[in-house]
Amino acid sequence: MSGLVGAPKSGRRSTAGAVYSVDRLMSGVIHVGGIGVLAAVLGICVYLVATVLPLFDGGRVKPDIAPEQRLDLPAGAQLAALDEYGLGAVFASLDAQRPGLEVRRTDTGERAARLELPASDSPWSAAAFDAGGSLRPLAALGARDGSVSTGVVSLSRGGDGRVPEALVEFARALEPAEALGAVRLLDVTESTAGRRFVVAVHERGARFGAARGGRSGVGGRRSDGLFLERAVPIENPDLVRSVFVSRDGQNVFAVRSDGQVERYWAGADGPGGAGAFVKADTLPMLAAGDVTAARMLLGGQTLVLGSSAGAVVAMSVAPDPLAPTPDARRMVVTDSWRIGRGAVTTLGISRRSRMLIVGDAQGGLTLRHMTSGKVIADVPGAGGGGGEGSIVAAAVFPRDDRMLGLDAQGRLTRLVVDVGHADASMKALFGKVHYEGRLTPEYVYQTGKGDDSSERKMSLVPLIWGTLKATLVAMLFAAPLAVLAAMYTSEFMDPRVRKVVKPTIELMASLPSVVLGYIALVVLAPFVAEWLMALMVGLLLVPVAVVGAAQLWQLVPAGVRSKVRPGRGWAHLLLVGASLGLALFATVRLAPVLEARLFAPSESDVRVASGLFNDAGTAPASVSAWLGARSSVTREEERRLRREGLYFVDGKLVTPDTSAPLPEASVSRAGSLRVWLDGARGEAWPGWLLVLGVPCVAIAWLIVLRVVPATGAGGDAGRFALALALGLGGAVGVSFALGGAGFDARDSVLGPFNMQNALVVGIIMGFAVIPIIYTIAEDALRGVPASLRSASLGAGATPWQTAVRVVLPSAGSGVFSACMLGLGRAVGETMIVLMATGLVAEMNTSLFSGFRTLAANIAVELPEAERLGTHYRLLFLCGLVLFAMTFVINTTAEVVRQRVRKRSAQL
Amino acid sequence: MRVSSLMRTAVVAMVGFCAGSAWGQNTGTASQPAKEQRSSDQSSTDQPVRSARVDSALSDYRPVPGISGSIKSVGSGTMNNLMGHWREEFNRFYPGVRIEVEGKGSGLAPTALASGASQFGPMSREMKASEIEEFERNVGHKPTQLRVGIDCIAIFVHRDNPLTELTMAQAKRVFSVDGASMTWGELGVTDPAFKDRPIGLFGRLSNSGTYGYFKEHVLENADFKKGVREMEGNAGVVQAVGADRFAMGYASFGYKTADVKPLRIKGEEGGAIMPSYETAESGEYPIARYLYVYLNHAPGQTLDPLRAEFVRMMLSRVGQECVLKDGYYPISATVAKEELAKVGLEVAPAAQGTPRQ
Repeated sequence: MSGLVGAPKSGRRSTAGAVYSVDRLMSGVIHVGGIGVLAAVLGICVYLVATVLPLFDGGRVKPDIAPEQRLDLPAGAQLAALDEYGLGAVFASLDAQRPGLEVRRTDTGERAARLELPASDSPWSAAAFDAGGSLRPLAALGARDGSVSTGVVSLSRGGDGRVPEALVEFARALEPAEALGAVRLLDVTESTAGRRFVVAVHERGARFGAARGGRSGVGGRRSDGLFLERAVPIENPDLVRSVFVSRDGQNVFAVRSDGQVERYWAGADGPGGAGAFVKADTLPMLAAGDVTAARMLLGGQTLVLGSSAGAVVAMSVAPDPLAPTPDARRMVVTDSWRIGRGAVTTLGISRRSRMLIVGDAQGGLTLRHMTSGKVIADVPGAGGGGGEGSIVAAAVFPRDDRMLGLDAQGRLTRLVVDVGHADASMKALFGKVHYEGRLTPEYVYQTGKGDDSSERKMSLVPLIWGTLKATLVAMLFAAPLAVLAAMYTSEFMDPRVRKVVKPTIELMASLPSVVLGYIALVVLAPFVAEWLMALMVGLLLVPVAVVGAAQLWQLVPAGVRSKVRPGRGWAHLLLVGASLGLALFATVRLAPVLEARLFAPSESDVRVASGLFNDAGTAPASVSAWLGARSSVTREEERRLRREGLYFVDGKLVTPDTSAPLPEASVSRAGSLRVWLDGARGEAWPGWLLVLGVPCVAIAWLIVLRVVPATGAGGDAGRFALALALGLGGAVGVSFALGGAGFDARDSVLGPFNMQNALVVGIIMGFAVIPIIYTIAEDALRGVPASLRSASLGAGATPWQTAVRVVLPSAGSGVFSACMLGLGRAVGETMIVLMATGLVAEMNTSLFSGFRTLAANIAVELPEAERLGTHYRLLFLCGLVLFAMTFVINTTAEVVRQRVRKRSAQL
Repeated sequence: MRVSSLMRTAVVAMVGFCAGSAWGQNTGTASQPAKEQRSSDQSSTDQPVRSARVDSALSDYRPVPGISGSIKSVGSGTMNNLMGHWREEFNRFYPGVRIEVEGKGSGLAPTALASGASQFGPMSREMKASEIEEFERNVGHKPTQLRVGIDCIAIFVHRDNPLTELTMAQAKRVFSVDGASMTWGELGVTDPAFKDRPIGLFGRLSNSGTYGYFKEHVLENADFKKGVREMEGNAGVVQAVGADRFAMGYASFGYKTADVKPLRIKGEEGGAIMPSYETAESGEYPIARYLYVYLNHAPGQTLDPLRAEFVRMMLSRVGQECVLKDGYYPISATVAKEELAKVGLEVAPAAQGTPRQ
């Protein structure tokens, strides 16, 4: 450098000092800048990791009160309520001598106040407090005469160390019932609309009550305080040890001490319907031992049982078309887990989250989040086996900040708990989780909650899937187009045309992705919906026509060709334009004809649809094995049945009636691609043809080019025609084979048509990606030394052979980098996905359904996420995963590029 | 024909605009076209919807002297337009008051209120227990909640769809994972063009209050089906349903266009109810909710005059006319009185019935 600068100019021999200092300064600046960039990237990475890591932390627990505090209660007293701050606890006693409510301090166990239970004509015989269904501290009292009252036992706001006052409000829900006897067991809950449900097990029977109307005025009728009464046909009420009602009032669960759980269903008209409940199903508790504790988890859908063997089992009701129950639902065990210490003696729940606190026979307390399976606190007890030290009451404070345990000897344990991010764990984020109300474990992403009781589903797998799907579809569309366009521009196009074309394509890159997303949503999506078949036909027809036209051009006598000189200027484009126009015209004409023919319903389909069918009688064994006795089938199952020649109409199997003549104008027989996609009718093979047409022709052409010598009859045009025929024939053959073998494209790559789908987004994302790939690839191709080209042409190769065999391999690494840069853009694309996919977190391979990508998910959900909360950190984890994905892609790309470069350097 | 295509273009423009503004600083009077669009819809409504009117018992707003200063509101994006309208009204009375409105999400309201960065926190949902707790930890008392309007949520289908009503139980089955994917025939549609076609589902983005409300009250906390497509804004949902004959979607009733048709909703008790002001207010129509503005107001203290006047204005007839203009329903005079009492204000008796100046 100094040699250059110091070259003698006007007699000066040495470099000026200023030049040196500028040199030093700039090199310093460049160093600082370079290191700064590295530091910034690393810093972002560290920040991401630091924000995400707390998600995987466990909880922290420490004792909160002085040891050996005692809280002595009369036998049989029940923990009824805690105040908001957890300073006071209300214990209810139904003891005949001294019935009432006592408010005790949770730090010292001292009595702070005593209240009477609401007055009643006959003594109270049963009580249920702090039920898990609703978010409010509801309570119910049942009396000897069979009457039931419901209400709220709550503590007023204490604060400042003052023990709050208890508020007790009750109102009669069910009238006395002499015939049924005293109330033994109770449960109460309130629906999301504030509608109250109560269930009572008497000595001789059981009753259910549903309030008429709910809590609010807007969005629901206000309750008038009256209850509708219905019978619950529990067979042996004396065997029942606990009873629960689900929050929606649809189900009553009776837990028997031998571990059987019986479910009673409210009927098709819901809890407000008429008549008695219907017995639906029974679930034996799978773990050994007797049921020693039972509790409804927050949300009132999941029932948790604890056994004498230390097992904790969670169960909920899931829809199952195969279930032999009147409501096509059954109870499923969603989780089972074992505490390490003896029998479970009591269960308590959080009012804020889906945490469960388990008290055991050895005086230990375990706090666990039931969705993530994370054990937040595991506190061994003071020991003292033999049941003296067993926990009789356990509770999580309303704010999830403390937990309380009380053992049989009156020893009080209160602990401060930092639950951290209880609902996040590796399993919850990346594994399949058995959520409540689902039949099987699933990957689900749905963080948008109803109220606090709803279970947050945080599996990132559907988002990663969506990101990959978006990228793949976009690249399938963009990469070939962009690379071929770059080859055309650099190798074949007249420089004057190139000067116009290249900047125009580069200009596409400046289109904001919001605009592209908007175009996708409003212009392209309806267009694709209307011209779907034409689009699919065009995908095959347009390239074939353009290539075919070029081949035909070769047949034109050389004299004529040289006059038009297609290698120069606009003539080339004219030829391409003319063939394109012709292809489009053919597509528009051909598509409706093909659609009507290929995707028409079969004659049997039409017969069944017009009502011409016979009862199939008993199903063949192969079908009845999976069909069972159900009332509805999915589209996949309908297609499966159809392959057996069976149809499913109005809940029964039928076969088409072939004897009757087909009515003339009954059901339209013309095919429609969208109807075909949405349904189960029509043949399977045309779907495969749509998918396989283009690849088969392309493969056939490649093979023909290799195998058949160019000197054959007809030359290149002949070879192309042969390839086309072979390809199409092959596609039809393979499609028939696949369709015949029972595979239906509608089960995999095609699916019900949604207007916001992967195809539309892929095309538009392709537009965003094409300029990037095109520009860089074109630069790389043009960078190939002209000597290579000249040598190749001079040796007798055609321009095409030169481009494909010499230029493209030499520029391979550059072209590959271009594709990878495009890929990087596609992975992180946000606005297009946000606007035009419908953001569905589905995991399917269908071209006609949407997806939800990591980037779009972050953009949508971050503004609403509470800072540093679980959701917030989850979104940062999305960012980190995205970062990791691009990192892996770029590293792979770099490694591949290096190898390619080495190889091309040998050229 | 021409008119409807123009309107579609307008909706489309609005969707684009809303989406665009969501990424910029979504401050100030965003989405002005929305208002025009909706007011033109009201006239082209083909359903016999009783027109809503502001409760005549609501008091008029009378300005008081000596109000100055500046106000900042941070919160719901749904209520962004509404806050903008209130700003305009308030500035008409008090041109000297500077009002800044920032609407990026209801979730931002509690923190901004607690830190003192804003004086008003519009929210399209109730504060969650955790947010109230956080607020209380920082400030020492609970936030004050004011009900300022009613958002009536309708379930829309395409205008050509023969379906006219839906029960709440059906709505739950259609939208939630509790039911299998359904065809229109399963909802009782006999038209052969619809009978065997699957129902396409649309809803709001998962960060919106409407999404949460629908999930809690219609799906009873069950999950949305995976296939429910989430669209940006009420207008996005309405536009998508209007463009797809086989679609169904939920959005605020006020965003109805001529391309869509609201369904009558049948609760467990009573008949099928068409969304309207009367049915929402009385609780007959089952899916309606309040819109809220939260304040940082210590109980037992008097509100400073600037905020007091703004609250009074929101809950007066002028303020409630803004609510109506924005596609939501106004609250009744009784509710307004209750809300004013929460912050220690009374309806000025002298102001009743006298025309505004």
